[in-house]
Amino acid sequence: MSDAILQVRNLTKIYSLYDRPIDRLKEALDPRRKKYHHDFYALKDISFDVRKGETLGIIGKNGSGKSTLLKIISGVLAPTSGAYRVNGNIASLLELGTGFNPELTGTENVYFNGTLFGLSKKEIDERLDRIIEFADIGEFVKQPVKLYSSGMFVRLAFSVAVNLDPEILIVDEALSVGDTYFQHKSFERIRQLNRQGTTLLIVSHDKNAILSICNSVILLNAGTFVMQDEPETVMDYYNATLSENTGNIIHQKTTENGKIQTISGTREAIIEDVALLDTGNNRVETVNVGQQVRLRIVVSSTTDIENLVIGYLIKDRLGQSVFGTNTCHLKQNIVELKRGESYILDFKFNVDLGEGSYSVAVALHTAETHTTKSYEWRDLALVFKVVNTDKSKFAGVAWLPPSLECGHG
Amino acid sequence: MFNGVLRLISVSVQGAISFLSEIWGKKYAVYQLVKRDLKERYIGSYFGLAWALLQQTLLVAVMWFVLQFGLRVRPEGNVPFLAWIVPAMAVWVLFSEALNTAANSLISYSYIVKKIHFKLSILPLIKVLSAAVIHFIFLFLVVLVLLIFGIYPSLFWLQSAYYFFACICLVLGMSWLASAVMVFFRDLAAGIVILLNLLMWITPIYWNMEMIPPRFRILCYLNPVCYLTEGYRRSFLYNIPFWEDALWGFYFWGVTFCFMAAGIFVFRKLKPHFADIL
Repeated sequence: MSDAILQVRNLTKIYSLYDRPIDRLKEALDPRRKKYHHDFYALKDISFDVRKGETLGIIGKNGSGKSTLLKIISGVLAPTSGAYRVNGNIASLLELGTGFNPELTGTENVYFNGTLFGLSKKEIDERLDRIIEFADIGEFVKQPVKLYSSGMFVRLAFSVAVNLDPEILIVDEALSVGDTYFQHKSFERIRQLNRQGTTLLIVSHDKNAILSICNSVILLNAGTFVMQDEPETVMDYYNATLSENTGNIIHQKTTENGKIQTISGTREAIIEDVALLDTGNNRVETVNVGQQVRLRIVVSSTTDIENLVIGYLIKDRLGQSVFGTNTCHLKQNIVELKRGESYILDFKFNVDLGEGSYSVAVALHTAETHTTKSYEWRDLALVFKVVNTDKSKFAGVAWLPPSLECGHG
Repeated sequence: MFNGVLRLISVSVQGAISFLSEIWGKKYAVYQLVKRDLKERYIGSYFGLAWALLQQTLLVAVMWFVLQFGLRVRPEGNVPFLAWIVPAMAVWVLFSEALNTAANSLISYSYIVKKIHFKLSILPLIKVLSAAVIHFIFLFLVVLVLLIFGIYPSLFWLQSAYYFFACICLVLGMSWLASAVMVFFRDLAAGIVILLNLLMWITPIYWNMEMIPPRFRILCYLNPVCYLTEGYRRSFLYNIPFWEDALWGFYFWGVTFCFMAAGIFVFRKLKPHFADIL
């Protein structure tokens, strides 16, 4: 691809692990070249491209190699084999506040930190006001960093990093720093950078962050490349893999509207049907804002199940969770199913949602969440559209109609 | 063979030029790092760099007292003893301070090595340069002592710049070598301390080269640090130009070149592993 700003080909990183530190020396000096270490694959044969202006998310469990990958792309670690090519300058936020010295003032640290990222004095001079304004730590900027609260510290560090104006910005778990207000602000800044054409590589465990800013997501597992696809698809798959029980089968198929549906679980209980019904018991795909509907879930089982929990999750267009609950949360009596029996559940609610397209994921599992034992988890079990036919115009994903009281004070 | 040597030289000259131009491009980063290194050393103390001066002064005073009145060392020529030892001490302190701190530089800057894509060969240079700054403070002391003893500035004093440059080159080559190896073999730190201790007494800093029989004097000439200490004396006290002993100069630069080449080679070879091990 000619417009690829980053190309990664067959990247492999092997760490030599020694049982005891002395083994490293023994191996280096052993005349028969006997091996004292065993290889650990932190990354195994990873290849992908990132186009200019794209936002790529990298997800995976702890120890799946996400950070190693980012460190190699940043040029900090050298790969054992394979190659990568970067067409542009990179700034990486591998750790906020690298090189901050507690004895120096905020401004001094900004200069030092900026220098480490390769900026000249003039370039930092130009950015200093922006950085200080964004960090918003007031007069503390003239005080030694050791007097800062930990929140102020990360705010300043984050502010330096996002104001470096690199062509590629690598962010490792740095999105959720500071208080809620600052999180919103930093998130907005990341979006803005993306709009300006900065290519972003993001590692995060924050599902919504990934879903809302990434164009594409890579899933890694134990150093191997699992898949790369649209954020929602990969997230659904990843979510499915989190279920720890054995016999968990995951497969993904393309639905009629081109979306990829993930179904996982042991299949001991099966979702027979999911439907959205209006008050007249007709199936609907388009509903009005505030309309009363029933979500009908039909379940059957292939074995005796004592404590079945049935739940659903409404997600917006980007896959971000809007609302979810289950029979356990609703303090509903535990559902018991004999082998071969089927069971019908109706969740009745008003669609107090903003205009747009929504999907429903349905889950059958044992405990409160699906991670312990999941019988079936079905993403995109149902897709419906919300339109506004009779309400006043509004913005957003929720319908929260206010009443207005006003007057001259 | 001859072609091989020629190629080696041309490759290393090219390497040196590209390295220098890269550093020049990063001069602001180097400046910031050196400034911060010095600040960190004396930060929180009210007198700051004055401590450096005080430390040097005390060292000179003790050495003067012990050597002149205790051991009764005689300087060469008609030079007051104190004026005789300070120039050599100045360059020796530069050498030992630079090597000692630079060898440890990758470990002390591990947060840069592990977290930021950075030109790592600059890190030993930072420590060498901050030792150089302290050296300039020492030079004030040298000038002061010389003036007190009625030795007045001559053009030859400027020649010390040549020996200063020579010292930086030698210590830089050694630092690249030592700092890279140190990452893998931390025990080297203890080895360097011992080496510096031995070198301090082997090198004629506090004693006169004339004191040993001429047939053994060759051992002094083989020590590259001796070229530097004698060079400072020649510049500040004896007004001897550096080209007078050209052979010694060639030998010194040969040794320096070897250290440089070995340092750059080993550093480059081991660089990919630094972040893995630190």
